Amino acid sequence: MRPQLRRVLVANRGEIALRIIRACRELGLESVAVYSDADRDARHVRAADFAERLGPAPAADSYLRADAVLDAARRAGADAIHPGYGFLSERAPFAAACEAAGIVFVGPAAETLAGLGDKLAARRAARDVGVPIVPGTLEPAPVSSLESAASVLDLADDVGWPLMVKASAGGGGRGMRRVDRREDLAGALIAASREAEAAFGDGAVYLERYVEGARHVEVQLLGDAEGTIVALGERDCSIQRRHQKLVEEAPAPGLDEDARRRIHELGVAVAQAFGLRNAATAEFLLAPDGNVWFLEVNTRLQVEHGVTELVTGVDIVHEQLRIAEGLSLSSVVREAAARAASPRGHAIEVRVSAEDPANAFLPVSGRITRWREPGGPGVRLDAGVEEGSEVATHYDPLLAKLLVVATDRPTALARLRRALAEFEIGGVQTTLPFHRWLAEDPAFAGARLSTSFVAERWEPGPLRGQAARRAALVASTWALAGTSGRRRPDGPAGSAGQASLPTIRKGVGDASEGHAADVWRQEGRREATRPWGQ
Amino acid sequence: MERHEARTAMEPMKPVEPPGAQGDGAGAGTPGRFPESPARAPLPSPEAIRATVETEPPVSTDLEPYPPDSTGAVGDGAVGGGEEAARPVGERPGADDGDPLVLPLPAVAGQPPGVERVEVVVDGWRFEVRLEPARRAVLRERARRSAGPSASGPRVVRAPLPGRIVRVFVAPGDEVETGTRLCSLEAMKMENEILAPAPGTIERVGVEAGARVEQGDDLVVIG
Repeated sequence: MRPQLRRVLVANRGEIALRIIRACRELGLESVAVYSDADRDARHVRAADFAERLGPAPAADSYLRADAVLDAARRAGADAIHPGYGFLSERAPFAAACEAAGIVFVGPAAETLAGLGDKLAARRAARDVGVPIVPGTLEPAPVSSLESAASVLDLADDVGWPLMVKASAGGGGRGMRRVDRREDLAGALIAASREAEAAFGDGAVYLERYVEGARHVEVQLLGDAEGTIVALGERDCSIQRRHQKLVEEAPAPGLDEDARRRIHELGVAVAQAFGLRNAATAEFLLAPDGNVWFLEVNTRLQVEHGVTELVTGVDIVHEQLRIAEGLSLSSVVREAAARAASPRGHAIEVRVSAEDPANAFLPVSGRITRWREPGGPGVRLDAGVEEGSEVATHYDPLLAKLLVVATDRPTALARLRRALAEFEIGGVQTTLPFHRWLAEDPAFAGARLSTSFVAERWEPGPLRGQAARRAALVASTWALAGTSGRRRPDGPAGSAGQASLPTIRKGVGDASEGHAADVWRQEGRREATRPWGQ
Repeated sequence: MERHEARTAMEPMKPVEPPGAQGDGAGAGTPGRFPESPARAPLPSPEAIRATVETEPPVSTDLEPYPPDSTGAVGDGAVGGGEEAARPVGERPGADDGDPLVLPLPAVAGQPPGVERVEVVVDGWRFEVRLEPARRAVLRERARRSAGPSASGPRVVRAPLPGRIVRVFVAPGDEVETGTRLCSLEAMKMENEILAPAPGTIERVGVEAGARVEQGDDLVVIG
């Protein structure tokens, strides 16, 4: 029997909640937003048809509370829950509880989440269906004591050095660390296990070879209730910091049609082993020698799904909702999958997060005092915030995803540079300086990608120092524009003829002066820089 | 016509010697920035404005308007001329590689009268900049210097954001280098390592593992 969806609760916040709510509206579905006390006035709440409160601001008291989300769904009369990414999206017990409550979980079946959520189980299953896995162990490492952890050394020598210690239940870059020396292994195993136990309630850890110079390439998968599973193409997500993605693109540059087809087939093979329904992503390492190694499967909508949408023309969230209704894969999806190995066009996404790229990408908080989004041809902006939003420290620092699409990679890069120059954000430091640098970087333009790209190439010190000196000039120029004795572009008539007064303009904090700053910027920038710029 | 007017409004100014563009870690307004020779550094012209970017170390620039009847020609040496005056020129990246934004900032507690603060965003980098008449800044620094040297003094490392202390790597008496791990702070789902901003000896550790901290709380004091 086919469930007819009418009202979908979106169990998430920020840009992804808004993105899903928009898809619901496009499909004629009613949407229910949920919110914590910190998000009462957030964009996603205003965008939805209905809204239900979950609890206080901390995620553990709101968005991570399966019972509260289910209660909200019942109160709102929702017949489906879309979990987005993060939070409850990959929790098998939550998916099972939804089904038990007669509410459709928009995602893979609970058993699939459980099976693929255990990364060791996923590794074993992938090996069993002939998919090459990153060399490493297949059982949890003993971590009860330093002595038992040390017993893993022989295994580690077989895996090869350096290696990664990973949490079986890990994700989002957590529970993962690189170990370079034999003597550090036991300590790393125990620390990673403790971290995983605290974060995921499961302390199982395993070893995996660290593949030098590898790229992160992943395959977007869709499966329907009839068991048809297709790959919608791949993405390159090698630009990472702390094992978390900063920039993603589709297709992965530099692969020929055969290489693409092969990696798509590997992704489909893993998905078939778990009877995947709905959307998931199979992640691989692409070694410099061309070898492809399976990493893991994420059983949810990915943050970076948009680049695949821009290249294929498929709306993945629409498809998720259709699949949840029991419909088979649409003809659009099948056609896109058929030509996935020979994609046309190129899309790039950059994650604009509230982080300080000069300080190890540490998250920052604050109030967004300025927010002007780029636009124009080939630009898509998925944002969860707006001018006036408070960036709280309770949640992921992602503010917006800027996506560009063009006929080829160089054109997409040019478009990215153009769009980044249009993006104005004030009030909080963001990752924009990094993205501006990256978009100009010759190694990135040459697609010389690896997961250590950022660690090896990003040197923020000189860039920020140069910007600081320029900021001093900009600020003093701006201040003098009000005391120069001539009328500023928009200046009040009364300010003329006050040349010799060494006073600084008054009232910078009030709204009218804020406006004056805008006008100065628009009208006066080029002129202001001219006296020394030539 | 409007644009022409805008340009003339912008032209009557040029940079004069920037007092601390190099930055030596001592901080704006700290002694030692100006020559110790008996001859006092001359006061900037009354109209000059000093912009101090509140980075570590701070960066500052003095800008002085051209006289209203000046042609605005560059390098004519009329005001603060010579190579010093032209210094910031060479350090400017092209004018088209980013949009400087100037945004108002609310006054902070203890902000002296005549000082205002703005936020400037250059190439996506966000800075808080203090603006004041350069003359006043110089006088204040002189007054502070004559009140006695304070040296660089101990450095307090504060929590950059609220969160929970996961581990503390240092104890009082430890020698640290720039970049030594001090402690790790869990916030926004991530563990962030707090690194020593400068070399020194740990004087005090104000937190322990498991402690919750708010943004700006003292973590470690480096002597």
